[in-house]
Amino acid sequence: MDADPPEFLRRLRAGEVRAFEELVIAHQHRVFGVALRMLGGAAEAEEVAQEVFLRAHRALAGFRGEAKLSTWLYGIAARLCLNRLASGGRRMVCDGEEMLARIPSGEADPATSLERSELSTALHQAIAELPDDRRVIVVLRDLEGLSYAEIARALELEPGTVRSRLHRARMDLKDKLERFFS
Amino acid sequence: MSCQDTRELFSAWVDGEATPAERAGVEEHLRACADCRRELDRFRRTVALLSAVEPARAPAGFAERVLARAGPAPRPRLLERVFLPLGAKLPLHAAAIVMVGVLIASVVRETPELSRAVPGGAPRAAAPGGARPVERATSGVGRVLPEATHAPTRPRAARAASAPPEPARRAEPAAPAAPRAGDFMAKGAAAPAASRSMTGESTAAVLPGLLTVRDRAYARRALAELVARLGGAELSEHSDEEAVVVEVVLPAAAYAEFVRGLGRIGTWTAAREPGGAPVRVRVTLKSSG
Repeated sequence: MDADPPEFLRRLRAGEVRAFEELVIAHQHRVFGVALRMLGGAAEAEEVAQEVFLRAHRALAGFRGEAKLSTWLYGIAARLCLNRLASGGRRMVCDGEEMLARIPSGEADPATSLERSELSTALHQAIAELPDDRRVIVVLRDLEGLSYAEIARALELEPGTVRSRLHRARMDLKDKLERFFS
Repeated sequence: MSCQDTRELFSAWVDGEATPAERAGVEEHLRACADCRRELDRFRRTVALLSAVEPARAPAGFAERVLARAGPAPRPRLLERVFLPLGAKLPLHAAAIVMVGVLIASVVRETPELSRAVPGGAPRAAAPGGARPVERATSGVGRVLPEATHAPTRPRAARAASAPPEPARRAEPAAPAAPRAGDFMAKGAAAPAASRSMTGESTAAVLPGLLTVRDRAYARRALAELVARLGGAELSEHSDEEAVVVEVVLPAAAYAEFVRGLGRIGTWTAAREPGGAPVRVRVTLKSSG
């Protein structure tokens, strides 16, 4: 696990504008990606992703560096999304405008291409149907590449909880995508 | 270990998160159980599918909007400092205004191929003496190699591992009035105002060019990777059914490698060679079919 450069952390804590700008540029796509995959709509995802960075901006002076910056930002993003989804018992929006789980095509064969497109749609649907507390772990692990320990830290969960929720979520996805694996 | 116990450990086992005792138990069971091996294969394919999902990208102008909300407008901006020596700014500001006009005229006049590539583009002027200025223009910017057909896959772990702050790979301006993608020559010299604020006015003389490709989506990804690899940044992107127009800024030293990279993505035709540093290029991606 690469640590954040101490000098960069010092600049951030000191409130250096350039350092914050570098932070936003470096992490904007990942933070937005988590919000998009949790909430489903690009407009709401941007709103939440902006809020993530604004909260980080306000808290940077006290950032102790116990977690990596990326883990910290992922944690803020995940909590904001889960809170939104919990308020009013709402579900992830699936407006069909954004394909949240696009798989690279690159296939010359139209039949293969069509199948891949169907697979993308099925995967998107299956991810969207996961319970929020499992979907967030799949997003962080399989789409964003965090380790179990990083996820546990970001979500303030026990590593065993991360492990079991991830397993349930993947088994659920496997069952829903079974027809593509025959 | 039973089938159920084994399957409960698939996730941790695939991720290398199982304990040595769990790992040994799973492996022993798998050797003897064909059903669980088939189940594991499907499980692995599911995980591989998730890992292949394309990463999301924040909308253009996202970083700008965050920075505008976060506090006082940060000036000078990151890219200005990276690419532009302070002392060079003022004279180049003035020069840029002149170059915008000159570039529009010269590009359309000197590159008939590019003019023809734009529906409704400016009529081309005949080159004196029957010379083919475009041949001069393209001779120094590399030639065409066949396009690759598969997008490079970036492992998820590598993405996560790059978490520490990276150098500015991408900074989008607040959404400018989008030019039609096909108008790349007609508007080749006009830089969006927000882009200017990010990079310094001196670089406003945009070098326009046409990148003809077979697979626009692949080419778009390859271009992003090329720019990032060379230490450049994307300033804006506009697209329609006809083309994708991406404006990028590059260190001057990277321009030759940039052109070689474009040649690997598709057929690159530029209007001229860049005049100074940094280099600002407007790439219009068009499908060849």
